[in-house]
Amino acid sequence: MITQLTPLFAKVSTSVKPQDFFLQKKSWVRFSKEWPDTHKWAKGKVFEVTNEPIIVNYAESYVLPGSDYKDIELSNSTAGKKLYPENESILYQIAVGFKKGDYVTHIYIPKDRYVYSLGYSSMYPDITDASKLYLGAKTSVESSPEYPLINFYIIKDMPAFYLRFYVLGGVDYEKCTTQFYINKCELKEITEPTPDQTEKALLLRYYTELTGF
Amino acid sequence: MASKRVTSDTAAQTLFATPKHVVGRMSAINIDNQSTALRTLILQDIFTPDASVGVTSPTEQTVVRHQISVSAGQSVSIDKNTLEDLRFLGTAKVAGDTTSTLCVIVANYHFE
Repeated sequence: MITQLTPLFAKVSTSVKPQDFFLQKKSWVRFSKEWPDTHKWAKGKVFEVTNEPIIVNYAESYVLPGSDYKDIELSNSTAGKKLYPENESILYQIAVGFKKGDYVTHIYIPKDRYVYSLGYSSMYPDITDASKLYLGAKTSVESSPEYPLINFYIIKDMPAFYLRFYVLGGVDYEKCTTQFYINKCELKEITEPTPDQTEKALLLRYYTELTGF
Repeated sequence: MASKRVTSDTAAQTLFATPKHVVGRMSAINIDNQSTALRTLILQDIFTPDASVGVTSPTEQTVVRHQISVSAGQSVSIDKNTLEDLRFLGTAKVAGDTTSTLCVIVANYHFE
C-alpha cells in the first residue's frame, strides 16, 4: 500500500508537516479484502494502533554513473534491505524522501510491476524512453527528506517494494540518497468495528489494487 | 563548517572525505601563491561508484571538478557561482603542477 500527499500540501501548510500524518496510538487501519490468505490475520480486518509512534531513521546511498541504474529491494530477503517487520500484527509505515540530485526513482511492487503507470498499455515507466523515463518517476520535488510525502505500508512477508534509481544522462556520476522514516506500529484487531471505525480507518489496499486502471 | 589548509603538491593532498549519505560542498577556496612562478591547481573528486546494471564491478574514479591557475605573487578566491556547482561525492583532493610550500590553499567546506 502506498499513499502520497501532493507536493502542494507541503507548500501551503503552515502548521502541519507530513510527519504529522504518521499513524498514532489509537489510529485505525483497515486491510482490504483483496489481501491473499497468506495474510489472513490482516485480510479484511480493522485494527487499532496500540503504541505511541516509534520512528526509526534509515538511509541508503549509491554513487552511480550517468544513464545507468540500480534496483534495491526493501524486503527481508537475502538481497533485500530488510526493512520489513518480522511478526504478524505489526505494521511498518515507511515515509520515503529523496535527496536532491540528477536522478529519478521508479517504484515497483513486486519487481518489474510498476506502481505509477497509466491505463494505456504502453504508458509505463521506461528508462530507455526519453519521455517515459519521467512517467511516474519520483524526485526530491515529489518527496524530500524534509517533507517525505510518500508512505509505504508494510506487513510481514508481503511482496517486496523495489526502488530503481536512474541517473540522468549528461552527468558523470550522481549520489542517489533515500531517507526512510520507519514508524513501527503494533496492531490490535477491532473484532466488531462500528461503521464509523470502518469508514474512518485508513484503507490499506493490496498492491494488485494499485494498478491496472 | 570546516576548513583545511594544504600547500601545492604534485601528490594530491586531501581536503576532506565525504561521508556516505551526503555530498561535500565548498563555501570558499582561497589560493595564496607567493612562489615566483604561476601555479596550476586541480580539484579532484575521488570515489568508487557502487555496482550498477551497466557497471557490475566498478573501479575507483578520479573526476576533475575544477582547475585554476594563479600568477606568481597573487592571492585569489574561486568565485561563488563556480562553488555553487561544485559537489563532491567522495574524497576531495587538490593537486598542484609543482610542489611548493609557498602556494597555500585553504578550503572551507560542509556537507549536505
